[in-house]
Amino acid sequence: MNQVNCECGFSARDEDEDRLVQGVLQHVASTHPELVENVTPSVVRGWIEVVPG
Amino acid sequence: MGEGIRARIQLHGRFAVRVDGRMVERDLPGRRGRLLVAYLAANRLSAVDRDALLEVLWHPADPGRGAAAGFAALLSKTRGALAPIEIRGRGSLQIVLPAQSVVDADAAAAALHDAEAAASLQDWPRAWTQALSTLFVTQRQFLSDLDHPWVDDRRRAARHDHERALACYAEACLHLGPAELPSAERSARRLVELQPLSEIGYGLLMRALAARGDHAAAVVVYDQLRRVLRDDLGVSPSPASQHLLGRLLRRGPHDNVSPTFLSGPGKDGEEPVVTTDRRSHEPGEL
Repeated sequence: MNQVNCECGFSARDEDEDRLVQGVLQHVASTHPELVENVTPSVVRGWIEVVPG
Repeated sequence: MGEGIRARIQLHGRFAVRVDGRMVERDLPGRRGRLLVAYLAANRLSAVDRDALLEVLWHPADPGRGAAAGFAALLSKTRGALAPIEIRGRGSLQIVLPAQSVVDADAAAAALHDAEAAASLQDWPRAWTQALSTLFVTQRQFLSDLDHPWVDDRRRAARHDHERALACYAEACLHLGPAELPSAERSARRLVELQPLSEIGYGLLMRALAARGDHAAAVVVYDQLRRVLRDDLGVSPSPASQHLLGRLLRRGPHDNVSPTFLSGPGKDGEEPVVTTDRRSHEPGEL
């Protein structure tokens, strides 16, 4: 299972890495809009933690 | 190595190896197999001498002559479990990952370097993003499910990186506007917890609180710093911290404060610390 816990409290989990990346990008666009240009799919992939499913 | 293969090796937190969606760490031959992959992944930019590997894997025992045969079997089983990830070499060994691979420790180190470079250029959105990338990784203990002296050394280094990333992240948040001020405060508080004898966290926390309009809390933080330094080290806060307090007191609790308030001594051309009532405002006498 893949997981991202944002510092602001947002948390997302998904078996599918690409789907999780899209979910996190949507969160950044809505909650941290001034930063959206810097947060690429590649950056988000580095945020993922592999946790037991 | 086939194109399009994705691999991920997680060294912070629970050790995990994923190749094209398949978790393979459970297929590795025991603790030594996991340690072998972790050690090679953590040093993957260069080949590791085979004898040095034996010392690590057999610790605390002396590898002795019998270790060579044991290591050959271990390496063979590990290579089988990892395929298509390769461990190349004989006298020295190197793990080779597909292009689309992530090793979390590498990503964190590269991000921290970029975050600090961005901060020095005052590119705060980039500093925020990259510092956060480091924090996401280093907030997890390095190889939390493995005990070894080498792991202990890496944990100490990771903790230092984590503290640097916290400082960089808090600084970026202070410059990004009101929405990120709670994050600036949280990371500064965490930094104070981790480094109670460093003034960096206290200064960031004072600035975050002042930017949120809570001058009184910022003064309390200064007093906390002053007491800790006095009791543990017998010294006073640095001129920079005293300057920060002085400017805070001069502005007063009802002044409007920008998020970048008090980012450094004399940045806006104002005089150094000047207080109207020295007896009540002297930093050391709060």
